[in-house]
Amino acid sequence: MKARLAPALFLGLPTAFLVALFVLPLLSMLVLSVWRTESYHIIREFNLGNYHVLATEGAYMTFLVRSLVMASVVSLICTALAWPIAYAIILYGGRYRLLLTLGFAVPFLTGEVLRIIALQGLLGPIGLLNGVLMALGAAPLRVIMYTNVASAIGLVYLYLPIVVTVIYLSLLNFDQRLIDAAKIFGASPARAFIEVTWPLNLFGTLIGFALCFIPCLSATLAPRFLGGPNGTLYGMAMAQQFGESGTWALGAAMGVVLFAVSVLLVVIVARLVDLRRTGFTGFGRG
Amino acid sequence: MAYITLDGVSKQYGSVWAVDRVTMAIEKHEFVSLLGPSGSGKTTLLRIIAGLETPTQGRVLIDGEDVTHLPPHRRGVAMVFQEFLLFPHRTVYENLAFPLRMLKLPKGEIEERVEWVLGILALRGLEKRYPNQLSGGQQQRVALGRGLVGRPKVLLLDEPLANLDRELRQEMEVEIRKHQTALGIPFIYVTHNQEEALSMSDRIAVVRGGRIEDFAARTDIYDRPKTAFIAQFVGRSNRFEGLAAAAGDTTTLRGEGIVIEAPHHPGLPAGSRAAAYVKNEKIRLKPATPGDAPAANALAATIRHVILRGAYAEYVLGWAGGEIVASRPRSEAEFSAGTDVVAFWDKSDVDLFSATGEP
Amino acid sequence: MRVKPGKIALLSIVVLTYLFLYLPILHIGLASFARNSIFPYPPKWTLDTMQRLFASSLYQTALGNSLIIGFASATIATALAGLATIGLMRHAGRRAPLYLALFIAPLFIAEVLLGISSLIFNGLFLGLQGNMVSAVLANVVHCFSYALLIIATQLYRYDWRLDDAAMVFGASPARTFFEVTLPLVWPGLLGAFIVTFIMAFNNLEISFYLLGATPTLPSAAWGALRYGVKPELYALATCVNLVVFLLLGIMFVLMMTGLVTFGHRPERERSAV
Repeated sequence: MKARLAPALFLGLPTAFLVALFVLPLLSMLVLSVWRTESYHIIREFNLGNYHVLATEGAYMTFLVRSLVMASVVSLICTALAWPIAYAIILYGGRYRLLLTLGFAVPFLTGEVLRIIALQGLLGPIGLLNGVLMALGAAPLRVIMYTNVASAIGLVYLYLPIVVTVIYLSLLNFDQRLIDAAKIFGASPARAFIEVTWPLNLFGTLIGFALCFIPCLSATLAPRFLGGPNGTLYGMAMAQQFGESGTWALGAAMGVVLFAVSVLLVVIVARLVDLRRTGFTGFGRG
Repeated sequence: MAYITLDGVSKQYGSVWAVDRVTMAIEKHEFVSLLGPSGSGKTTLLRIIAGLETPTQGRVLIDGEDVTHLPPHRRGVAMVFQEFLLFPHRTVYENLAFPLRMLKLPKGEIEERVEWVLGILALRGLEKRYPNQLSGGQQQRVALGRGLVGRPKVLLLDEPLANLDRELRQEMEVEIRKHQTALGIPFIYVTHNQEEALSMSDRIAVVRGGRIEDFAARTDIYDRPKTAFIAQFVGRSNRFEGLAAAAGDTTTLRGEGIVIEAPHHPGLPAGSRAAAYVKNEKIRLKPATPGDAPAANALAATIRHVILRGAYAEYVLGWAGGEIVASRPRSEAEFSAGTDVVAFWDKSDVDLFSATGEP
Repeated sequence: MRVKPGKIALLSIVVLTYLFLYLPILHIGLASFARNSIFPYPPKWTLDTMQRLFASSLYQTALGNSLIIGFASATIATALAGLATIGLMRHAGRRAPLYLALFIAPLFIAEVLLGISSLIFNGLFLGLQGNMVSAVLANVVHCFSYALLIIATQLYRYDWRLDDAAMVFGASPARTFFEVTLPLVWPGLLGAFIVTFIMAFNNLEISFYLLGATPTLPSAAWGALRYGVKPELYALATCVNLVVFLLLGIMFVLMMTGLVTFGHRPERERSAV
């Protein structure tokens, strides 16, 4: 009896919690997405009208494609920046490694709104950039703020830290001596990177990429406060259904779409990547 | 000209000289061990030959070419690491094929050579496994195979057997030596384990504090240690201390309760402090008889413990100056604990060194 | 010493990135203590903005609510994640990958989706109005996965045979936990608590949908931001930044003294062997 109690407590409690507060809400979103809203009232009848709207009304497809492009571009930029940064910290960080990595955590932890405020401070009409320009006697720059570029810069600012942290942890737990081994057996530094460093950190890189891509795809704040009139992204449009427009059912359908795209991405990645080929040796005590 | 030459090689880390003016010449076909305690600089020396470290001073020549500033991948060397360092994301087959792919050999030849290595190392059937699906011994074989497959100019081995258990280790010792003889390339083998070094090597370089203490044939290292450090570090010895006195072809050491005679040692002025080493297996035993007169190279002792080592027995003896150990073949008459005996040895089995300057 | 171009390139990327990340933070930091907040170079120092911020009753209420959400979420998330980590390592057996997949799934769901789906579940299916409890629980879902990862990296090196050893010597399971396990794992728990506290405290997108009219610091800031940036917002962001710096400073000290690792390995010994 005692032996059954421990797993029930240690695994059962968190599982029950997640089922009740994570799985059930997602399911209820799915259910709501096949109901409909009429003048702020929810009609509990099965229909696929919301999905029909999303598929046929051009604006929503535009938002989705724009979001996908935006998330892809931002995630690629973040990953491309994070690799050299993480690598530099590993190679040259020395005893300041820890400080340098925690330094990346600070902006990540201060929350989205505050970082948007900070970005407004940098890019905004009365921000640092324009302040410098005006102090130099130049005209304030209007092209950056309230454009998709500003949104992208904002999203990079928001999610670069987590990508750096994930790739850094991956590199840190990667046995650098394997590079020595590759070199001894005839690989040039570039070749050693391709043959050993990259594949063995691919898993970490993909996790970093996903942890940037998924929130970017559903971004609501950055496009709203940094993007312009042509900057509406899917997540922002979804949030509006629950706010001003009050069309909850349509918003739920959009949520399902976002969820599906996120899951699809994870599945595709999991399919594409043979974990064995990334040196993954399983969970557990190791 | 030797096949591999180290010419005044030194390596400095901060203010520490990890390797200090090492000069040595290694012939092709030779199996050389770098033997030393941990921290002696032997691994750094190996990494300098491999090109993983650049020496602060000095030159490294392999096959007549100065490779001091060549990166490792252009040196044509191979290495077997203590932690194996197999590529975890590659199968056994791919690990073995790696050096050949880097040499850009045609596919057919790669397959042929990997097959050859799989055969000589008894790895057939494991080609598709990943390193973490192998036992320690199997990983060791793959690591060795990866070192041999590219037919390198020299194979460097960095304590490759340290992570294996004793039986497997002895098996691998024979095998490594066999492959070295068959391939006819020099092996440079780093170890802190004297048994490994003695069982495989042609010559042994004893490394201490970044310097080569002696570099000589293994029998010379064992039988005629050049320094007190080697006498202590190689083989198992008993140490006696005393003051030296020379007479004719004999140098005599007088310690507390003991007189040791050794072949003449020119470097020991009369009255200087000296240490004598006698290897365990050189100490013989006979039953004590009443009226034994004190004699040189002999001492009265009592057997405290008997440790059976299979083919021989180790006797821990208590005598006036402490404890010594004698190991005797089981074929000889045996003694039991508590027996009073006389331990004695030959003059020619004593290695005498100056002990001045020792703490 | 030769100067390597690769090294210079790598290091300049690092420096530029830090500038990119910290320039805005420094800028608004200066702005919130300066009369000339638009372009505080050089700053004309003043504490007026800060005083206005601290005098505002809206921000005071919001701060209280955020603190409650932060503490409650972090406590529950850390406790649950601690249980889950031990469960994964000791009791899950071959089903560990399944459990792990469920436990870290919230990482791969955007915060706004968590907020919206919880809103739908609460509002439509449970008939609940916006309330603090719902907000806390929804934040726990998100924090739980992060806490799990943090505790797991710390426990990864924990030798479970120590538990067995303690029990062999007659300690009860509870006694073992308090005398052997807890002293070894508390730094991980503390780290998880600090990080999840900051996350829940600063969260907007989950809390927002579940709180109705109850303000939190991020939602008050968000509300104000809709009408444009004001110096008070700079001041608010600066205050939060300072607190985060302080908390991470504690983490830094913990990690420097080697109490916690979070996947950090001590520098590998240079090969002086």
